[in-house]
Amino acid sequence: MDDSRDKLSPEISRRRFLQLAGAYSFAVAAGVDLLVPGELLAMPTSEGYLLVDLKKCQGCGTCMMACAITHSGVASYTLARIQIQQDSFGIWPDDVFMVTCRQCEDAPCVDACPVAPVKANRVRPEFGNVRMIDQKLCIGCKSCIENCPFTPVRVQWDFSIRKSQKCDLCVDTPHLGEKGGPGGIQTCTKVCPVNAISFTKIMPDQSRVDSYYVNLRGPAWAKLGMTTK
Amino acid sequence: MNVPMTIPDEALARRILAAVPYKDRFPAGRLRPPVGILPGTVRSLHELHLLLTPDDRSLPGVNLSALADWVEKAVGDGELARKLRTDTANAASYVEGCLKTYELVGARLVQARTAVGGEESS
Amino acid sequence: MALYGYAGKILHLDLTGQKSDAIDTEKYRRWGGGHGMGSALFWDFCKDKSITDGRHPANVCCVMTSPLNGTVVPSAGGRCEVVGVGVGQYPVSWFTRSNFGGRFSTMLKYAGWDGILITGKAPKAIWVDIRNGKVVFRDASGLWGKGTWATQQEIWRLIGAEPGTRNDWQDLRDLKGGSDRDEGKTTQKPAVLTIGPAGENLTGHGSLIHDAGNGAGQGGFGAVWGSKNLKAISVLGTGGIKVADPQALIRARRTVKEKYVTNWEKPDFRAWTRLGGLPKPIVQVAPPTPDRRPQSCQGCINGCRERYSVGYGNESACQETSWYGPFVRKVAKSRAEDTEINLRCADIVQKYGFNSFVLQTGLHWLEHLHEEGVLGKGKKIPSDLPWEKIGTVEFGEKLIVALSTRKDIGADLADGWVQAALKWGREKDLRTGALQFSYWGCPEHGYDPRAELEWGYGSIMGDRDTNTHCFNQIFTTISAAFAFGMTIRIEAEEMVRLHVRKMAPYAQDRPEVLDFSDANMYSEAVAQLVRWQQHYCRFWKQSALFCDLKWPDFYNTNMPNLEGATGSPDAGEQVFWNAVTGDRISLIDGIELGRRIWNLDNAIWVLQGRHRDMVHFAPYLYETKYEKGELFPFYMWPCRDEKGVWKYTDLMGRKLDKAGFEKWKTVFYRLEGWDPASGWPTRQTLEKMDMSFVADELQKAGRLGGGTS
Repeated sequence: MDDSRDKLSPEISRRRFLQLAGAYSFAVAAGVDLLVPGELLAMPTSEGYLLVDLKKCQGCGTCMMACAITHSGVASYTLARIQIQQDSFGIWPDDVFMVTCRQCEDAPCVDACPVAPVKANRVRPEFGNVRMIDQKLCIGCKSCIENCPFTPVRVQWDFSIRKSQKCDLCVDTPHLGEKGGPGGIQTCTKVCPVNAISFTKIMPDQSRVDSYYVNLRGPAWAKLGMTTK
Repeated sequence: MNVPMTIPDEALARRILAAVPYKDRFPAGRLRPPVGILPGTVRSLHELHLLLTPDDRSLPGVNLSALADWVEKAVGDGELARKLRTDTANAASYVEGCLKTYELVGARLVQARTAVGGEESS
Repeated sequence: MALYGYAGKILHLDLTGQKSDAIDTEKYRRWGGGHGMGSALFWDFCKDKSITDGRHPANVCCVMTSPLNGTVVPSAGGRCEVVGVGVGQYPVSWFTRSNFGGRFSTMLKYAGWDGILITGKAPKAIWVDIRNGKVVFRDASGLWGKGTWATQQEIWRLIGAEPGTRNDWQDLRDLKGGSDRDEGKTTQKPAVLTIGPAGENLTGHGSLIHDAGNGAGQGGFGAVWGSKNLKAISVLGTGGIKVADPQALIRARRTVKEKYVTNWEKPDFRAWTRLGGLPKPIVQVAPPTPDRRPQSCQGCINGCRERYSVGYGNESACQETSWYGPFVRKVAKSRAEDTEINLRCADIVQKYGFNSFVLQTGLHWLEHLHEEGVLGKGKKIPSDLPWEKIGTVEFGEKLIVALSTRKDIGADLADGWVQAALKWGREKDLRTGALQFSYWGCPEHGYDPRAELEWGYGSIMGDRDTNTHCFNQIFTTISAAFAFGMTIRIEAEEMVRLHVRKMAPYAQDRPEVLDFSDANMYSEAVAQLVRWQQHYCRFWKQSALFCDLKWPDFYNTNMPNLEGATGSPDAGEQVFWNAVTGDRISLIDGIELGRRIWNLDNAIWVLQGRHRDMVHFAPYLYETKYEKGELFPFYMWPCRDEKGVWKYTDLMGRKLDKAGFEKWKTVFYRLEGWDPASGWPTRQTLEKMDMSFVADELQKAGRLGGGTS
């Protein structure tokens, strides 16, 4: 699958911001409700991001299963908000691919959500500006899915209830037993047996796809004889 | 004091590098959980050297005192056998004895390959 | 009523009619899952339980999950159990078992199935395509003859699953032959279980292979499938499994990682524990490159396999990477070459779907015959294999091909090695130990029955090489410590105490059960140990599907009090079972359930013709001693001396006494509540376990123990 959609040009973001800044100023001056459908106003950046080490993952799927369990009480690959793809016959490091929601600065999935007056997929300032979907409001139009520019798409489709869902950094995890979200913990980082997933508050470079891929292999990994390059 | 072994003559060198007949094979296993003790034999010093290569995943299984006898009688290298007996006698542990054996056998193989005009082993 | 942990249905594949139906899991819930359910299904669906060859059309094969599969129970999320009558054992191929890992059981659960019951025989080669509830029998004529890897990749292509790892979600409606309603999407490839040529040619070596290196090797199930014209089963699931107490499950999972497993920041690389180490692939050769990752079954706490950058060796570990080692050393010029040959030959056995376990001792025997001049070109046992090239990839491949396709010596070996030995007039090799096939026509594992009693006894009282590693880490850890001259972290008395405090109900606080000294070899205490182990394993490892490599975790040096996770109140097996299923069982409840399953299995063996007079080891174990220091300097185990003092003692240098073993069997049968005259269960024992239906059938067959009506 062509990854060219994955490359976001910084030019687009800035141009879009300038377009919208005008709209924003007008909206403020006119006292218009800021949450205008289809319009992207400057989004506050998320206070958290997941980073992954593609060379470290042992392909156990624990993160996927745990993600689904803490959110819904159901273990599932399809409902996992982190996805691990594997090819047993592949050559390392391309035998595994780890995929997490990027909590994009300029989140197209949020932009695309048509629900009004309050978007179903929106930034939540009370939860560290996490881009998350409120399934009570979601109408199942799949616009967010269609507008995620990444492969695989970072928004999942829950076919049993016909609604979208996405990574919320564990904000809404009734089965986690601990506070989630940017101010708390993330299930996948805690359960990964090899610590191949980490959390950061610093926004990775949005112009690069690989800014979310990091090297988490330290001295213990080296001592086990595996590369730390 | 570590006294090096004398360079073998060509005839001895060829015996050092050769495999002994099957009937003279030396039992040598390997312990690696969870498979347990794997059976095996060696018929040459080269095989023995490979078996004894240290790694952190398994342990070689050889009777070190019987090994020296085998080197003397089956391989025909009395000097190496004597060196093995003296150098491993005071080894602090079985593994140290294996490591010492590995070094001595390795050195002997290098000597033998040089003696027959071949390249040193890697 | 909500069903937690279970999908709720078992898929019955009627190969004869090429149709499928669903069986309500609730009917078999009392057996837990995995092996227990498989044995119960076999009991109900096998029309002729007297068969002794797994290739008989009446044979029933079950591929079973547990409620823990597909969840994050550490090292229990991804195993899968296979049961049925086996192929190639001696003198009888018992109703037997095998087990494999990977992602098949997880995917099967997510597709909505707790297991697969296979009956009948397809009229021609088929593969079964399961996508959630949709089950289609497909023509396998284009797959038959292909290796296991090629088969899986071709099935992916036939289904329309994208190759590689950077794919978008695939809607099940968009796949070839896809669903006609919204069943969601997946990024995952179908999980396929397949046979290769070894199974297609109905050899006892035939295995079931999944992905690159997960194999159900023992039992000849590849031949069972081959005899049914079943090439492969593919499964894709987009559903999920409800967990009864998700918070408790996550808490227990995190407890294992944070408390019982050594930490990554300051790891103890030499920790004494089964569950609590870092990923330590059990590959038997030096790694070919540092450019690699550990790889594991779904939900594992520390992977035991690897994948590499070199293009060979993926996911092979343990036995398939060691069978050829002693011979490769003869030809390899370097360690790197040694690794490459071994791993390329591991790939070959995977592709042929070949159980290389027979070669661990069997190939030494064949070499012995060749060197003796009785096997080879123009010899009494004719063979055109290039024996002068033994140790090379070329020889390895030719050998595997011959054994997989019944060519050359494979023609005789295909139906069993002991059978072949007898046919070749080599009965003496079973007496001298030249052929080290210790029990039921299975090769010795690496834990000699003359030394490690529970291994041999558990195997011979069961159906196969037991392959249950509950206790032999004692041997490997202590022997390694002695070998290195290291400090013994846990002394003998403490070691046994740490075990037996958790071994209720039969062996709790009875350290003598682990005393393998000469004086205690045939004791009631050792019988209790064997009972405990077989019952624990029948439920917790073979039905609940906790991985044999990690559980039980009796002792753990990561813990200040050295106590392992097994049976613990915060991360024991029962904690996970209850969190997932909503049950409230104890570790002992599971062991009792294991006892019932063990009894059901024994009843099947009895119907197959079992009698205590058949229950004997290969003669060499009685007639020759386990040579001291020959293959390893010592075999250390806790023993009491004549003063009752515990010390680690070398168990080499002895043999088994046939009369002593006969007496031990009698003790064992009595403890199990079986008729000691025959080894058959009694009605009284069965009825106490709510198994009068079993007693009835045994009685009808004239094989009920005790003579009671």
